[in-house]
Amino acid sequence: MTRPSTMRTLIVGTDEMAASVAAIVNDIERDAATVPVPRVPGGGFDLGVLAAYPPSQWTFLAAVGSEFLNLLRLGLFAQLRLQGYKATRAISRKASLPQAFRQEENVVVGPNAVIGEGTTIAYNAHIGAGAVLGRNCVVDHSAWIAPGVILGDGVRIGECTILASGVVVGDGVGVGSHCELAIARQHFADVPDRSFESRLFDDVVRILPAGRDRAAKSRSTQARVAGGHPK
Amino acid sequence: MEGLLHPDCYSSREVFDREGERIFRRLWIFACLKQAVAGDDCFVTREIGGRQLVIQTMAGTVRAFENVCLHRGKLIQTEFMGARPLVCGYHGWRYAADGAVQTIPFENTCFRFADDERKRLRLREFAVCMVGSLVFVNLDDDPMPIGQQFPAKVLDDIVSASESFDGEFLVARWRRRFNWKLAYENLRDMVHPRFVHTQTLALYASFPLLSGDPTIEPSETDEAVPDLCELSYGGPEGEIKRTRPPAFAEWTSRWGNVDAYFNWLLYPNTHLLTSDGGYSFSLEHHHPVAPDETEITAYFFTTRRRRTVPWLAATLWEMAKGAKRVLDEDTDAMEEVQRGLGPSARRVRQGVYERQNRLTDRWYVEHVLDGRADRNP
Repeated sequence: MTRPSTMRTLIVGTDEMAASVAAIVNDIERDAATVPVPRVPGGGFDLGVLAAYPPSQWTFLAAVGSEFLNLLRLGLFAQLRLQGYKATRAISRKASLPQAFRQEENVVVGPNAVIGEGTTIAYNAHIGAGAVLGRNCVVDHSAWIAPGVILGDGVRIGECTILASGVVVGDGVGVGSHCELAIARQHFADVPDRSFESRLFDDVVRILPAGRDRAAKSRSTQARVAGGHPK
Repeated sequence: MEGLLHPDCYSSREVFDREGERIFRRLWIFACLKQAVAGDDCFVTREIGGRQLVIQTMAGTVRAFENVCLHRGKLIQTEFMGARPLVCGYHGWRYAADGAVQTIPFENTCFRFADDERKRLRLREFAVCMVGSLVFVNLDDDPMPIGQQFPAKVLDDIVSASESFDGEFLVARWRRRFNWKLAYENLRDMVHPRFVHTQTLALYASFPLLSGDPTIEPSETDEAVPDLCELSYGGPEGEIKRTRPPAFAEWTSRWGNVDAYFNWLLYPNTHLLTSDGGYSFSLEHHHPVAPDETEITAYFFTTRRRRTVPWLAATLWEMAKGAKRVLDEDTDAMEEVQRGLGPSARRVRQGVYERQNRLTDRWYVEHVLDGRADRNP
């Protein structure tokens, strides 16, 4: 964690997640503080309890689980930034990182996670304990990679996407944004944006954009194959 | 009162085939949402009454064709939903907007059809009717006017409500082991939520035990066969117990202004509802797969968004997960009913609150079983 030496880390969030992040931070810094913040009806958090923790003395970690496709954590992250706080990150000492790893804001990397060379992790993403990310992967902002997930080389994970424990993504596969893959399964083909897998449903559930948009996309991809059959 | 339907009506292949002929190939059946076929080449596939159908927008018009290539009989569109021209993947036969064969690869070399035969190559087409955002198809050669199947009030409601639907929706499909009719008997039953949904639906909505005129005392002998129109109905059926609108009310345009739980049951197998007084809707379609198996397709959507928001996917996904818990409670109960329909099963016992089920059964006996309610079909 890099910041002015006088700054301390304030872990702001919901109880269970804050405890998990605190376990990583306390391994590095003894004087971090944890503050639970209550949700307010209609979205967002009540940050009134932070009055005793001025932004001039504290950097924050927004510690909210993968609720609501990670949008709650993203919302808290944005709220704290608006209040003048700067974000830090929580990278476990026991994680294995590439040599030139860029530590983006509010990124959490759990113990024993392994991140391959050339892999990038955008702000607000969460990499669970023991997850293994291959080389040259791209994890977009606010993604949630649960403990034990395995990503091959060159995997792309879209923003706000959740991969639950036991998910395996093969080399070169792209998982779209705002997905939730909650079944321990191997994926060797691309997963479109806003696809959901849950034990609640037998099949993959998708949110479909308006038909017109799909038609336009389809036409652009089929232009190569639909060009005139020989008579 | 003893129920009108013999237990075999829920498990017999013969009855199931007869339902295909008398109900699903004769009545208007929900096919898809207009949003799913809102652009040229957008399609949905369905199997209705044993027929394979593709509902596809061709040159700006929604058409329904038999989804079977005229060459070797392969399905032309193979996905549930998608967007691609009507081209068979087996030998490349391509179909035009009117269902005629447009191009055949290597036609002059490999096929050499006579002119007359070539002109007759045309997919079988079926009637399509749009009711607001709901697309219905009818497989009958001489389809009845849709107003003969659904009351004008219901059609007006559906048009009004469905035109408020957002363009993006979440769709989920799954199968369960029960006869399709049980789903609607359950939906017409306002008593079961107090027992089956104690931890879900009953926490946020309450329903009157008796719908319609509570003084009516049906008898076993003088029930007339109802008109088909009487089998579909709907409107504000339940009271919502919430204290504030849903969070997404902020960015959606509400349909209407009545704080009620609306249900519309469209005979034979479509259920539209809004559980939050018009901020969001879901539509369930119970598709018969086998006498003891039903495929459920559920669509979830908010009303039209007033602005672009990042919350849509999460909102729809939360709606779907919540609704699925309620549906699972229902389908668990229906599977238990189905398991009770063994060879020694007896007819059900109906109370006065089950008047709408009894009306539906009366119509069914007349039109599917040729009036032979007293015999095992």
